[in-house]
Amino acid sequence: MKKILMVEDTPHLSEEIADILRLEGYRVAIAHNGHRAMELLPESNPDLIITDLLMPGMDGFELIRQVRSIASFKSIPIIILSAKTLDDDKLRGKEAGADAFIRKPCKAHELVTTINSLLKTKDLSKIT
Amino acid sequence: MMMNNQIILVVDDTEHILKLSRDIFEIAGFKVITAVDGEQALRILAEKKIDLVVTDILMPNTDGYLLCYTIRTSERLKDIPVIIYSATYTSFSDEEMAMEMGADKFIRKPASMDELISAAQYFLSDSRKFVHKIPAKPKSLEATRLYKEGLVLRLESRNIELIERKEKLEQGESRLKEAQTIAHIGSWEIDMVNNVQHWSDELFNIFGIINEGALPSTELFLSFIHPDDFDFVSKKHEAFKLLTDSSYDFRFIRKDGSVRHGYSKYRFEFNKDRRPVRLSGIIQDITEKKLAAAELHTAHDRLLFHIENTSLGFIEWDNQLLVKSWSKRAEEIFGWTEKEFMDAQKTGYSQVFDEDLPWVSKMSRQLITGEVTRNRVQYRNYTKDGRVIWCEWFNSVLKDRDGEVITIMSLVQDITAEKTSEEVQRRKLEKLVEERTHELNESLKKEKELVEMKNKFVSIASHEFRTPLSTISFAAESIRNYFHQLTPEEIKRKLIKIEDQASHMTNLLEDILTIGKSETGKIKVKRISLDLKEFIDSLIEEVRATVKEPREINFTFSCLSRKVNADDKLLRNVFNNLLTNALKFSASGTPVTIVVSDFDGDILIEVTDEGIGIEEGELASVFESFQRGSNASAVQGTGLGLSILKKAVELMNGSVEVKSTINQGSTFRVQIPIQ
Repeated sequence: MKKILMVEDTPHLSEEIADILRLEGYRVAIAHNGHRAMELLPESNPDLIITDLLMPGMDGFELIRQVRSIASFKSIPIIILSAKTLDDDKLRGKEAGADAFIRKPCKAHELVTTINSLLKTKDLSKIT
Repeated sequence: MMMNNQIILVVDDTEHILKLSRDIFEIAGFKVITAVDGEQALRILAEKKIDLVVTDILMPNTDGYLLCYTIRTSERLKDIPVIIYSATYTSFSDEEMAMEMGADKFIRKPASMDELISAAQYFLSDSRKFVHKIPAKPKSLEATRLYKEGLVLRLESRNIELIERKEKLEQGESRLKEAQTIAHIGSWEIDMVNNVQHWSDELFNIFGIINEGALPSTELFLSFIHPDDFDFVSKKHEAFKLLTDSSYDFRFIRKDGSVRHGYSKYRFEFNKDRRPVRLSGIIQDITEKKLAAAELHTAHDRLLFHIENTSLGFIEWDNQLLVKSWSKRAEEIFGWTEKEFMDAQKTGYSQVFDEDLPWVSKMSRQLITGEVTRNRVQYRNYTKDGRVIWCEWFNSVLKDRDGEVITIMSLVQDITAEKTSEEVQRRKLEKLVEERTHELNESLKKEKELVEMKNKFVSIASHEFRTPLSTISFAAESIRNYFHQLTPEEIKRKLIKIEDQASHMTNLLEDILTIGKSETGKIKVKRISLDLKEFIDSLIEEVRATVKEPREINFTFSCLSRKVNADDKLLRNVFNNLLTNALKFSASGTPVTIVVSDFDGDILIEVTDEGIGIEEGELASVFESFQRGSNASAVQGTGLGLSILKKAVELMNGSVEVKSTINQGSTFRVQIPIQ
C-alpha cells in the first residue's frame, strides 16, 4: 500500500481529501504546516507528497525545497494543491521541485489520476 | 482837295457811323446829307436831288432793302446809284438780296475809308452810264416779303440771344454776389484814371453798413480799422504809390462794434504804357478762420500740458526709431533729457535690456515697417544710471496717406513695482502649483496603492473562496462516488461539512460586500438617539443565544448618560465582532468582560477575554483583511471580522486598539466620539 503525506492547514479540507485517498487505497498522513510535515517525513516515509502553498510558518515552496534537499526524497513525486492561481506561483512551484500543480477546487478524479500516474512513472523509472 | 457839289445821302441808324461816314465823304469833297432810317431817307429824296445813296440794311421803320427797292421802282429816283454799307453779321444771301433789290454795290462794315471813297467816286463820275438793274416786281416783292419774315425771325432770335446773355450776366453777377456773401469776401476797385472807387455789396456788409448808402472811399475803409492796426494799415495804403501787389491781415471794428479779423489783397492793372489804370482788391472777413486757428492752438497747448503732466512718459520716434520728442515724464523715468537721449542714440545707444533686445528689436521692426500699427508690450529698460526697470509701452504708428510710416508715438510707464509684486505672486503661484502637483502625485500614489490593495484583496478573497469550495466539492464527490463504501454516519458528517462550508462562504460573501461598501464610501453614517445600555444589553442576549454552551459575560455600564447619538448599525457591528471574537477565541469556562464608560465626549468600550491571545508579531496586522492568527486555524472565521470592525469604528471617527498576551487573553478597546 502506497503512503501519501498530505500537508494542508485547513482541517476540514485535509480530512475530506484523506477520506478520498484512503478510499482509493492509499495510506494517508496529514500535517497542518510545513514544520509538522518535515517532522513526519522520516517516520511516515511517504511515496508521494501533496502540499498546499499558503500555510502559517513554513510555506509550501520552502517545504518542497527542504524535502528535495534530503537525499532519500530527492525524487519523491510532489503535487501542489493550492488556491493560488497565478502563473507565477505555478512556475515557482516547478522551480522549487514540484512535479504537478493542481488548482483548488478540483475534481477528486483529477487528483487521483495525477497521483496514480506520478507513482507509475516513479515505479517505471525505478525498474529502468 | 477836290470839291464838287454832288450830294451823298448816308442812311444809318447808328449815330457814330453816320458821323464817321459824313466825315469820310466830306473829306473826299462830297456834300453829305444823313438820315437815321429809310423813311427819313425817302422824305429827303422826295425834296432834294441826291446823287448817291449809301445805306445800312438793318434800320427801324424802312430798312435798306425797301429803300433800295423804292428808289429803283420810282421813275424820278430810279437812276440814283445805291451802295449798301452793312454790318458784318449780314450774310451772303443778304448781299444777293441787295443786288436783286437793285443795289449797285455791297460793302461790308467796317470798310476802309479808301474803299468807301473810291466806291462813291466810281458811281458819281457819271451816274448815267450805269444801267440800274430793275428788279422784277412780283419776285422782288415776294423776296421782300420773305426777307422781311426772315429778318424778323433773325431779329427775334438775336434779341432772345441778347436777353439770354444779359440774364446770364446778371446771374453771374448775382452768383458772384452770393459767393462773396458766403465767403465773406468783398471786392473793391479804384479806377485810377478817373479816380472812381467801387465796392461790392459784400464789402459794405463786412463792415456792417450795407444799404446805408455810404460812398466807397479809402477814408471810409480806414475808419473801420482797429486802432492797434491803424498805423500799419495806413502805411500799406501809402505804399499804393509803389504800385506793388500786396496782402495783409488786419483787425477792424464793424459798425455794430464787434472786433473782426480781415484779410486784404490787392492788385494793380496796367495799360500798354505800363501806367496803372486800375487797382482791384478783395477783403475777406477771416474771423472764424482766426478763431478756429486760435482754438487749434489752444487744443495743442492743452494736449502738450497733458503730455507733460501725465504719469506716462510721452515719446515720439521717427521712422528710424530716433527720438523726435521726449516728455518731462520720460526724462524722469529714464533719467535722460531729450537732448541727452538724442545724443546717446547717435552713438548707437539702446535703452532696451540686453536679454529682451532680440524680441524687442523684432517688435520694433514691425512698427517701423507699419506691419503692426499699435501694440502694448512690457519689457525691461536701462535708465541713464544703468538700473534695469520694467516698462509698459503703448505704441502707435502714424502713417501718411500713402501708408508710409511717419512717426511712432509711445506712452511709457515704469511698472517695476507692479512687476516685482507680480514676480512675488508668480513665485507664490509656482509654489502652490508645486504643492498641488505633489498632493496630486501623493493622491495618485494612494490611488495606485488602493488599486493594488483591491487587486490583492480580490486575489486573497478568491483564495478564501477556493478552500471551502474544495471541501464542498470533495465531500460531495465522495458521497456520490463512494456512497456504498461509506457508513450513514460518515455521509451525514460530510453533508454537515458541506452545509457548514456553504454557510461559511455566505458569511465570507457578506463580509466582503460590507468591506466593499465601506471602501467605496457607500456606507453613510446615520446617527439616531438611542439608550446605550439597553442597546448593549439586548445585543449581549442575541450573541448569547448563538453560543452552544452558556458563557459568563460581565457587563459594566458607567456612562453619565445612557442617551447617545450614534449609528445603530455600525455600533451593532462593532459590539457583535468584539463579543463574538472574545467568545470564539476563549475556552467555554472563561469569562468575557465588557466595560462601557464615557470620557470627554467619547464613549469607551473595552472587551476582555481570557482566550488564546495573539502572537506579538501578529498584533500589528490583526486588523488587516484575511489575516488570521497562526493559532486560530481551529476556529472558524473569514479573517475579515476585525477588518470590518476597524472600518466601522473609523466611519464613526473613532479608534480601536488591542492588547494581548498569547494563551492569556486579549483586550480590545474602542473609542468613539458621540454627540
